[in-house]
Amino acid sequence: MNNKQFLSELSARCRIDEKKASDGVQTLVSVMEKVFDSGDTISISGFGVLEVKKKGERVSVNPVTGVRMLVPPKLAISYKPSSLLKDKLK
Amino acid sequence: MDNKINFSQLSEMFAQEVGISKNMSEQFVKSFFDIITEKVLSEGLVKVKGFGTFKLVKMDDRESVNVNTGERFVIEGHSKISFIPDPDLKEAVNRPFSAFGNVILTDEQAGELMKLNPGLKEVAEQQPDQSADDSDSAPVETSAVHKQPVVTISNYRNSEYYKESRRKKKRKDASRKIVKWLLLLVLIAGIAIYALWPVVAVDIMDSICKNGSSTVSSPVYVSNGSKGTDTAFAVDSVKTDSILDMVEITQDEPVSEPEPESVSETESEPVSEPEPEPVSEPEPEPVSEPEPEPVSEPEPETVVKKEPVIEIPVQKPADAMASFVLVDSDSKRDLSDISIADTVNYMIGGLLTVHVMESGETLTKIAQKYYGTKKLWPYIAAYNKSLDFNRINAGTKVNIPILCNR
Repeated sequence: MNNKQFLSELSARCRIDEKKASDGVQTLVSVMEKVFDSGDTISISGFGVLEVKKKGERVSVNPVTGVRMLVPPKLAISYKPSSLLKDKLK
Repeated sequence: MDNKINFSQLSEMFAQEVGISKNMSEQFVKSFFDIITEKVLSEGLVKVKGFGTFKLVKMDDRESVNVNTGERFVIEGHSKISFIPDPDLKEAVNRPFSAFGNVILTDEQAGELMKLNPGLKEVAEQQPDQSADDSDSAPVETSAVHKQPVVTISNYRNSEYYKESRRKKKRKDASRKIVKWLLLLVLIAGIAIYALWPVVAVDIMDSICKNGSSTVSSPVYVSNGSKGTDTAFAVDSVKTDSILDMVEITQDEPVSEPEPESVSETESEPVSEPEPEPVSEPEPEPVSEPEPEPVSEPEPETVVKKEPVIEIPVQKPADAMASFVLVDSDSKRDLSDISIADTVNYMIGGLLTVHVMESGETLTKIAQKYYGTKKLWPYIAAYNKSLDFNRINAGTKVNIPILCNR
């Protein structure tokens, strides 16, 4: 399902037009960005947990050339599906 | 910090942002996540622009070992939901660390780093999806502060190392060039002698018959001695040509050198740079030590006169560390009328000082202050990638880099 289908489905469910739905998604993402920025996690029941995790710096080795790279530490979003969703997967 | 934001809190924040009723926003947020969960299960893939992609990944059966009992057992194949965040979101979340890039390490540096930080993992590049470091994940902010200097130091080290290796390479290339040319010359001379040997030999025989005194071992002299015949003349001209060539080449190289120590054979000396630019570095040594201390601070005037080193006195902080040295081969050149094309000749050699922006100050003004020319401001911008220089506030701390000649 691509973005267009997603927006049309969303607009149908909320009974708004697609333009508004697209704007709403953008705003919702920026709200979530703010939440991540302050280091908080978002947990939605039935969906899962979205949180920012810090990944430490590491040395990666190119197995072909043997060149070592120091990869800097970074903050990344991780998603963990809720147990409800996990049950549905089986 | 470390709060859990649940559905109702999120929809409340969303309602405030958009300015709609709570009911509407709850409905919107609920359907947003509902659609994702439903469709990822039914269709296996949901793409949301600006947020990311949810994907259903199938895992095959695999065998594993119980760590405690050593028993083998099969983990049955199952499905997993993977989330790949949109690049925009990823970047926004990673903003605190966005200034860092990958750094190539040498074996020595890697060993040093391992000693400093034994917890550091070495990972083959083929598995980019690193599991999060558990010990680091909980206190995000504090560990971030702790880790930062390590990277900057290695960055700095690396840049120094990089410069040195560059210089070595340049020298090697130059000496290789000389050897190549010499070999080529010898080859050409050999071929010429070989091709013309019958002629020369005849000539020698002739002259032996005539004089009876010349020796075979020096054919050039012999042919010079008997200029009467045409063939001898041809040999002569070929020889002198190639000799001229050699002289030209051997003279060519030391020209760019201020003091030719010895002609052609010495391989270790830095020979003319590959670029035809007139600005060559007569002594690359001062660049290799970008540490600001060793430059004699008390007498900057004499330094300027004696050597092609231009020192720009900087307002000194408490420590006398921050003196900026711009090494330039041409002492006559004034930095204030440096051309734009010349500004690309420098490279960043480390941190000079940290400047706190005052109101009314611009990057060009800082560049004027620290480097003596405003045209070098892009280096400051490049060194502070995390800052947006179109909207900079007073009090912002700006790192000023040391610039060295390439």
